[in-house]
Amino acid sequence: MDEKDLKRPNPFLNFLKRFVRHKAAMIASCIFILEVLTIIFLPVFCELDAVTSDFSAFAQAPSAAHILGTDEIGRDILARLIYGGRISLVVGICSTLMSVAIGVPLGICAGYFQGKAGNVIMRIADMFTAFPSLVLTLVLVAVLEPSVGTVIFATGIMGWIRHCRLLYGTVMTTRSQEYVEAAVAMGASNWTIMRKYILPNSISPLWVSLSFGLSSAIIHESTLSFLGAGIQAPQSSWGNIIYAAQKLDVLTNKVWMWLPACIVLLVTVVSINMIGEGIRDALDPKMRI
Amino acid sequence: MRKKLVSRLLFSLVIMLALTFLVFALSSLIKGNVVDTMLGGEEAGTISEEAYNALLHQYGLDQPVPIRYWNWLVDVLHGDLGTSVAQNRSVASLLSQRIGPTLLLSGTSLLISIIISLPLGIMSAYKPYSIWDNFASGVAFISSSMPGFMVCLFAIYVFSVKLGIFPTYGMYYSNQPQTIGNLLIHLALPALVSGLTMTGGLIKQTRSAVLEVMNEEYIKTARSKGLAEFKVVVRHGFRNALIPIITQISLSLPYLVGGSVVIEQIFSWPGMGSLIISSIYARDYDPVLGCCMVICAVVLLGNILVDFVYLLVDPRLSKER
Repeated sequence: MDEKDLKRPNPFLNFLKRFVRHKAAMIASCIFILEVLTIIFLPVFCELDAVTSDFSAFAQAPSAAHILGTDEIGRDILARLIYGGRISLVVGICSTLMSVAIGVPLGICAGYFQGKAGNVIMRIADMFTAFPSLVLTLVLVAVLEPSVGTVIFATGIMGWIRHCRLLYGTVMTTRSQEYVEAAVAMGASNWTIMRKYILPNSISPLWVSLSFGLSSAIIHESTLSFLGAGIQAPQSSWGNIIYAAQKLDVLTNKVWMWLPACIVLLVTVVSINMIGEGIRDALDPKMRI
Repeated sequence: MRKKLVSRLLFSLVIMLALTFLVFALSSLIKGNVVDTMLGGEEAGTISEEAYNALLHQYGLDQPVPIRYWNWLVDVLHGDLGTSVAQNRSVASLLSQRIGPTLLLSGTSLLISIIISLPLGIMSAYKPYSIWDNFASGVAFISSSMPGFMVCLFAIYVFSVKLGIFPTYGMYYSNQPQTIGNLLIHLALPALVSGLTMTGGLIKQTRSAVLEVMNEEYIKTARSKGLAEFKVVVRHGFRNALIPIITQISLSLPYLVGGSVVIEQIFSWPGMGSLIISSIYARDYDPVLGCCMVICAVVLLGNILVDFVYLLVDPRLSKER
């Protein structure tokens, strides 16, 4: 046997190989990356003004001057879509990171210590699910005054339960493994065991839940803004562009005002979810790709 | 058994207290109170400070939060849920008026989602990776990727605006008698939309639960004794997969009572969800608290009930412990 066979396969490379073979997920990744690049770089190359009104064009249908038309007070829809995309993505990503930062340590502690500590944490999680989360978020945003920061905070603080539950479940099985027992026998501290043995061996399902968490955070933000409680004008987000469609006149006769934002939002969420499915299939050794 | 029930009930009580206190404390932190809303933004300057403080005192808003919470709690225990200042009515009468429409809408939509998801989930588990399975997972994927408000907008645009089949808002045409047909035509669109948004999770859960059961030995036994395929799948497969499916359905309990805020708002459905959101906008917190309490109580009691349903579905569970 030469040395090559003895080398441990790199799990990350293995995962990547399997992920690349997942066609739908690869297409979705390309679309998503393209979209993110557009949102980041388009304002750098073109002049886009999402704030000032064009007084010669109120609620105008798409034309050469405004490719996607203007809204009721003459702001360019394309520009609002791009800048709104920045806010929607930033809110989605930051609040997902926040919910992971809360949920993962809590889930690990709950699964590792079980007993009273675990019970308390999981019961708090139960408390949050006993209640429509949107209502709590609405109250929270009303308290903190709606802004990008508070929407991130309110969305993040509602999202941790998913990650916490997930980690709790996987840690329960990880902690009964022999290598954990061995670590306990060696006299390793709880902190070391959690960091070195439990975390790396329980983390892989998190990648799937991370992508679904991101898409649901984006949906959550757009829903808040759609209800008029999230991002406030003159700042835009996909949700608050669609807010205009609450008027029946806009919904019926001025489709250009809300349809592009709907499509962009849908494409984003679908591609993120597709990437999530790809990650899940790539991580699942039973799945043939 | 009784000991367990008592501890569950006590625990539910603690959660309810914690949650209502949380909402209470949060709502009292909000800048501006209902007195400001009543006076209206511009007129706030014209009223003298004494008169303003007297109004605050009248509504008990000049006291510290814990004391106000305690007062609220005592009132609740006496059956008084407070008054909605903005609508000038008692919260209890508001709630009793709003909970019916919400239960009607969410009950119908839950029923629709069950009717759609269970057959699809079972079929896709029975023949994994078939056309049925792909179709079902497609439906599940779309349903969990579409934001609820977007489905509403598309549905209104297509069915109400373009095709003109369904009305866009309310429970009845205001100029017609309140008949059942009138109600049904208003109910159809919101119930369908809300049912569709719930199907995703249920299809996935049904599929994985049934798929797991279908690998069991007793399925082989049932087949080898020559049982009809339908009976094998439904009586032996589906029945044993019920527990996770019931869990999934019970997750929609909060929406069953609280109503979907978004859907009720868009369709102007006079239910709990739209009451909550309009009260939050009016900074009128007694109705919000009342709704929260009712939702929370029903959900927690519902969860306990679900535990008993588990015992009914799987008698083995009562022997453990």
